[in-house]
Amino acid sequence: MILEQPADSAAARALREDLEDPDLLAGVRDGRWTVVQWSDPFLTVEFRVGEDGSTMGMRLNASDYPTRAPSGVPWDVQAAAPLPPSLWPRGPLADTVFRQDWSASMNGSPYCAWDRIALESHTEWPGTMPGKIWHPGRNILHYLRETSHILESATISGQTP
Amino acid sequence: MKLFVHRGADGITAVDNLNPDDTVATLLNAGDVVWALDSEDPIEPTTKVSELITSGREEIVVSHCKKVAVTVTYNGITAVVNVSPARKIRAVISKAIKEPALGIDPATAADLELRFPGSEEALDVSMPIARLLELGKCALKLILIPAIRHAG
Repeated sequence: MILEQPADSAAARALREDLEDPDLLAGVRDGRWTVVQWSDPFLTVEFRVGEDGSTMGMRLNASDYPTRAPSGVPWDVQAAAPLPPSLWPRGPLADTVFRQDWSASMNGSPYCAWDRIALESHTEWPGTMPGKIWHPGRNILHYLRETSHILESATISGQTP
Repeated sequence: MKLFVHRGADGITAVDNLNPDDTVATLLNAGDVVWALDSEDPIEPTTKVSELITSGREEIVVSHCKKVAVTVTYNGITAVVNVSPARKIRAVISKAIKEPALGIDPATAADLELRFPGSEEALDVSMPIARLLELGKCALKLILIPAIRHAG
């Protein structure tokens, strides 16, 4: 991980501790995700997509962590820029989260209960999706696990493994 | 040298400062069996730590169970899936999908997740089944259920 000196905010301290969660590190060893950079408040993570060696980056804004959910966008790690919608993952679950309509109109925000942008506009989700919802008792591992689950059955068009 | 050890509900711990010639037996209590993570076949207790690391088996699972009987309920139908304690939840789902009695359509399988009965939380697919066992038990009951899709 490229760890730039993070600010010593309460959010950064909480995130630093949670990035050492043994189950988060087990996910790294399992190849499900890699934390590639942390420059407070932005955490850049690369996820495995499908089973063909493809990956997709996401940049997560973790300000106010863990009180508020992280806010992620698909991210081109090499170019350090948002990933264009044409390169977003596709699949039965991915299409419902990385939506070519909603997400594309929201600067890439995933449409899911563990991401800040969608969550804050869906007040019914705590009641209808209690197992998925972000709340202050969660840690960053929840965001990584749920996103990884969505991407396990996905593919990325145009990416050569 | 370092190994990562999953042991029951204790979770995963890093065991550091091991010598290359230490054997797996040094990590075990009486009656324990050890596997590489997600493996069906146990590791011999005489296996050296250095052998595990050079063969990419630095993550191990310790359990008193030789097998775990997972009673999976899907759509009101029940089947028992037998796995080693080291198998990941992902492997249990894969075996359940192939279980004829459950009659699961492979086309819908990507949506499925395992939960404890009554829980809303999906079990993490990377976790070995040993982590879910109650002390002294070698069996557990889980439900297989389609993940709630985001809609709206």
